[in-house]
Amino acid sequence: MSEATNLDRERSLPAQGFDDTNEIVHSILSNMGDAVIVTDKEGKFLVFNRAAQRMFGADTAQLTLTEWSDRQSLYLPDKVTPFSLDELPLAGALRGEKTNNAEIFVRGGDISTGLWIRVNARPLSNADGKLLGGMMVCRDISEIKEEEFFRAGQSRVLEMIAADKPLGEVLTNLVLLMEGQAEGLRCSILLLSRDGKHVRHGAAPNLSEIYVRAVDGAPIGPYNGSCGTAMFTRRPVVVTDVMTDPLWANYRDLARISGLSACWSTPILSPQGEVLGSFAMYREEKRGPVAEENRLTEIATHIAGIAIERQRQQEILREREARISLAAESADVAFWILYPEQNRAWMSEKGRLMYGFDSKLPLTCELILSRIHPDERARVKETYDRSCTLHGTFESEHRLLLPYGKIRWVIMRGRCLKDEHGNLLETIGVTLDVSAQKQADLQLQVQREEMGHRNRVSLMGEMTASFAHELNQPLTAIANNASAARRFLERGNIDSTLLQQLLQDMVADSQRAGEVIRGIRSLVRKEKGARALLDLNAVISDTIRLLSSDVLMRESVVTPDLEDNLPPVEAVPVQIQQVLLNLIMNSLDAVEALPPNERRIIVSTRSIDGQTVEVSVRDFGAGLPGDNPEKVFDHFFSTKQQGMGMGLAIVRSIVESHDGTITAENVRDGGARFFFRLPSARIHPKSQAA
Amino acid sequence: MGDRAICMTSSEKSDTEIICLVDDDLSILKSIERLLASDGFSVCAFNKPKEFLTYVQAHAVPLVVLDIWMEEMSGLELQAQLSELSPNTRVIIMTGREGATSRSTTADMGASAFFTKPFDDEQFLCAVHSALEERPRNV
Repeated sequence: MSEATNLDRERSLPAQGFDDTNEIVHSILSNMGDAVIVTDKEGKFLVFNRAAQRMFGADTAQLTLTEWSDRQSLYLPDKVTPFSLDELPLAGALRGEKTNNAEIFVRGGDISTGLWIRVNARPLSNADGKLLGGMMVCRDISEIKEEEFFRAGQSRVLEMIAADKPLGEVLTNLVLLMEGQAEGLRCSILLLSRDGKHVRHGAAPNLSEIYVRAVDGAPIGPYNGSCGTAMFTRRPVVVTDVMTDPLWANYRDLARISGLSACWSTPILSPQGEVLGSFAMYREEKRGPVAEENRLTEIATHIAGIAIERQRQQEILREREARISLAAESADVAFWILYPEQNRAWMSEKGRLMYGFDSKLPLTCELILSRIHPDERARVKETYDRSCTLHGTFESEHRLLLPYGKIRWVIMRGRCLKDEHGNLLETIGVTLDVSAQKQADLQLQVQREEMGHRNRVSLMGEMTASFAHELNQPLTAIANNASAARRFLERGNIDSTLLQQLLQDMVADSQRAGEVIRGIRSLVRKEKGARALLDLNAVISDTIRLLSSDVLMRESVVTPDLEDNLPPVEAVPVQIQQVLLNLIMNSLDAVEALPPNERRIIVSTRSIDGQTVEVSVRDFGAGLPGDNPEKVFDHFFSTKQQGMGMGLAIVRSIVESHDGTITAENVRDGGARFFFRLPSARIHPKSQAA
Repeated sequence: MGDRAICMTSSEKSDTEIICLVDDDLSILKSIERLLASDGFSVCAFNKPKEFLTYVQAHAVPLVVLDIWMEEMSGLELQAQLSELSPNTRVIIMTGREGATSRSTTADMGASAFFTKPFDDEQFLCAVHSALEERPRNV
C-alpha cells in the first residue's frame, strides 16, 4: 500500500505537521467503512483499502483494473446484466469522467448473498490538470436496498389484494416476501375455518406437502401446535423447541420429517378483533424470534389480515348477490346493487335481460343510467341523488330505451346504504317491468277518451236545436242586414252612417257565428285539451246559454244560482262543459214528463271553505232509483228508453280525473240532485281565471 | 238586451202601415227592422213580448212579425193573446228551428206566413205585402 503516498496532495501533509503522512492516510483508509480504490492512469491499483477487500474479495490488490473487472461480478441494478470494463465508474474516471451515486450489485466478495453499493468515481489529476489516475469510493447500501425491496414487495402484495387476486396467490406471495428477509426462515399462513374450530391451509410454499396436508383441517385448541393454539388463545405462541414443548405433542413426527425445530405463531385479527387465521415462522434451530423477525411478523399479520378480511367481505358479497339472484330469478323483477365509489354495479340475470345487458358484460353505474330514456335520464338522476341524500330511499317510474329502440316502462325502487360518516357505500334495489300494465293503462285511457268523445258527439246530436238556433240568429241578422243594404243602395237613399252601422253589425254577427262554430268544434274535437284556470260560474252561464234553445223548446227553465267570488278550479274546459251538459240534459229529460210550469232545473255553485268548489244540478222530476241512487254512475245503467247509460259514467270519470267527487241523491221535497266537488286551484292572487 | 222598443217610421207609408216586430234577439230585431225600412215600411220593434201586448192595446197594429222562441213568452202564447186583444192584427211567424208542430199550429191560429231563419228577403217582403193586403178577418 506504500504506493498510496504517491499522491501529490498528501505530499504537502508533512509541511502541516504530520510526521508520517503515509501512516495516517493508511490508518484512515483502513478504518473507513466505505471502500476506496485508487489506480494510476494505467489502471494499476494504488489504493485498495480494507473495506474494498471486504466488498470485492481480498486477493484483488495485486491485479490491474482490467484483470480485476474480468474476475469481479459487478451487475447493473437488475442483478443479471454484468458491467463491462468500459462501463465501470473507475474506467470512466481514467477517461476523465465523473460518476455520481451509481448503484451496483456485487457478487463474489466476502458476502455470499452479494451486496449493493453506491459508487462515486473521480479522475485524479495534478495541479496542471494532467490526469494521474482515478479514484472510486463505494458505500455498502445493502440494508437500505433490502428495506426498499421489502417495501416494494409489500406494495406488490397490497396491489394484488386491491386487484382481487385469489387469496392463495396473495398469501403465497406474502410468505415468500417474508422468507426472503431472513436466512433459513420458513413461514406459513393458516386460516380459521368458517365454523371457527379448525385450521385451513392458507399458504406455505416452502413447507413439505405432507406437513401442509396434515395441518389442514386440524382442530384449534389450547394444546394444538403453535398455530392452533395461537388462534384459540388469540395470543402469540412461541415454541422454541417443538420436540419438547407440550403444544407440539401431536405434531412431533411431522416436525421431524419437515426438519422443523422451532415455531412461533401469531393470530391474524380482523379490524373488529375476530380471529381470521395465523402467521407462523419456522426455524431449523431451536430458538425464539429475534427483533427483526418480530417486526416481520407484525407486518405479515397486518397484510394477511387485510387480504383475508377483504376476501371474506367479497365472499359475503358474492353470497348475498347469489341469494338475491336466486330470489330475483324466481320473481319477475330485476335486482341490482350500485357501488358508486367504485363505479361498479351488479345486476341479476333477469335484470340484465330487462336492461338488455349481456350476462358477461361488466356493469357500471353509468351503464345502467345510460339505459334510462334520454328524455327522463336527468330527472331520474336528480330524483336518485335527492332522495338518497334526504331519505335514503328512492322510487321512480320511467322508461328504459334498450338497444334497437325497444322501450320498457319500469318502476325502480332502491335503498341507499351509508357508512357511519354518511358516505354512500351502495344502493340496493329492484326494478319492476310494468310495460304490460302501462300498455293496458294507455289503452284504457284511449278508450276513455274515445268514450268521452262519443258522448260529446251524442250530446251534440241532442243539442241540434240549440246549435241551429245559435247559428241561425247571427246568420239571419247578417242576411237581413245585407239585403237591407242592397235595397237602400238600389233606392239611392241610404246615408253613410246607416250603412256603416249595417256593416258593423254584419261583422259583429259573423264573429258571433264564428264563436258558435268554435264552441262546436271544441266539443267534437278528439283531443281533450289542456287544463286551465276556470271560473265555473262563467262555464255554467255559457253552457246554459248554449242550451237555451233546447230548454225553450222543451218548455223548461234552467235557473242559475251562482255564488259570487267563486275560487277558480284547474280543469280541462271542454270536459267540465261536458259534465255540465250531461247533467243538465239529464235533468231536462227527468222533468220532461211534468207539466211545463214545473219543468224547473236549478244550477248552483258554492265554495266550501275556499278549498273546494261545489256545483249542483237539481231537478224536480221523479227522482233516482230509491235503493241506490249512486247506481246511476255505473256504465250502461239507464232509466231512459233511448239512453246508452254512458253519460253519467263518463261524468264521474271526468270529475274523478280532476281529483273531484260526484254524488247523486234524492231531494226530500222532490226531484234529484247531482253535485260534484272540485278542489279549488292554488293560485297567485294576480293570476286570472279563464 | 235593451228594454225599450225601437220604432222606425218612414214618410212613405201612413201610420196605419206601421209594422210591429217582436224578437228577443236584438241583432235580429235590428236587421229585420232595417230590411222592412229598406222597403219603405215604418217599424216598431219590441224585444219584450209583454211590452208589445201593452202597445197593441193602445195602437192599431195591422201586422206583427213574431219570433217563436223567446224567453219571456213564446211566440205561440203571444199569438194566442194577440188574437184576443187585437184580432185584426195579421201575424207572420219566424223561427230559428222549423218544427212541424209549430208550423201547423201557427197556421191553425191564423198566421199569414211562417219563415225559418234565415229566410229570403224577397219572399219575406212579399209575404209582408200580401199580409197587409189581406182583408181583416173580422171586418
